[in-house]
Amino acid sequence: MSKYKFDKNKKPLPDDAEISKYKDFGKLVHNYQRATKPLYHKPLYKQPKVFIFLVIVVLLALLISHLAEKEEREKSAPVEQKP
Amino acid sequence: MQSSQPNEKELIIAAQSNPERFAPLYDHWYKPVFLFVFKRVNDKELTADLTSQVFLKALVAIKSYKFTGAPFSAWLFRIAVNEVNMYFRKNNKHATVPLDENDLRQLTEEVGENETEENYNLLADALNDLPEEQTQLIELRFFDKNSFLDMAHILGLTEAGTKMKVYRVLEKLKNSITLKRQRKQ
Repeated sequence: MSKYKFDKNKKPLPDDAEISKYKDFGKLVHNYQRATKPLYHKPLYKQPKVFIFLVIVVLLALLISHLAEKEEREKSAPVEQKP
Repeated sequence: MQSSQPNEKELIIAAQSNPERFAPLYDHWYKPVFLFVFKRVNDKELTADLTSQVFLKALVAIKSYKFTGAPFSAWLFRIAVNEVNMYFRKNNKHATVPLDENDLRQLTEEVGENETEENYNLLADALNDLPEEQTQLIELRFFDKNSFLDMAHILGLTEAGTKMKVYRVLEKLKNSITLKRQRKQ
């Protein structure tokens, strides 16, 4: 909030030249584009690093599930009985 | 004869379809908005930041701008008022804004006081005791020199309602000055 004080020697308001220094329509449009465009221009899977990461995750998941399945199969295999 | 200069409505419609065509509105209103903000924060760099935020918000929202009969400037100044208030609230700060005789002359008259340095000081002091909403009314009316109708458009109120609120604040200021003077004596 503004707090006011009486000042006989108040400085004049900024003049046209000073105000124009801050005027930048190009920057406004740039900020507008940043504000309105989505974060990712490409889908995640089309970015090489993310793609490799996703492939590794999928391979690891397959490997883990394969190992788990193998272990399960070994456990549940029927035990040979001696005659 | 038709004017070759596009009017404000045409400029707004053009900007709604293409943000690049917001430029004429930006050029025309940059200075008034800058000064409007500067009068409240008294800092050029901060004013430049807040002004660019005002125009960014205006550009983002212009697609949903509706022609209600209120001037475009009222819509822009409403964004500016909100932006300044939000800055103060978010940062829990206040700006010290100097006022001179020119700023306070009309307000001093309205509260029925003489134009003396002592009264100017009392008035500035009384202004600081007002809540944000009431200070805003005084700023818009006496420092920005808006008409009641323009104020109503900016604040989203009726003209009569705005007038009534301003007179109530003036009455409050009058009482506050009397009290402050009595305490001093």
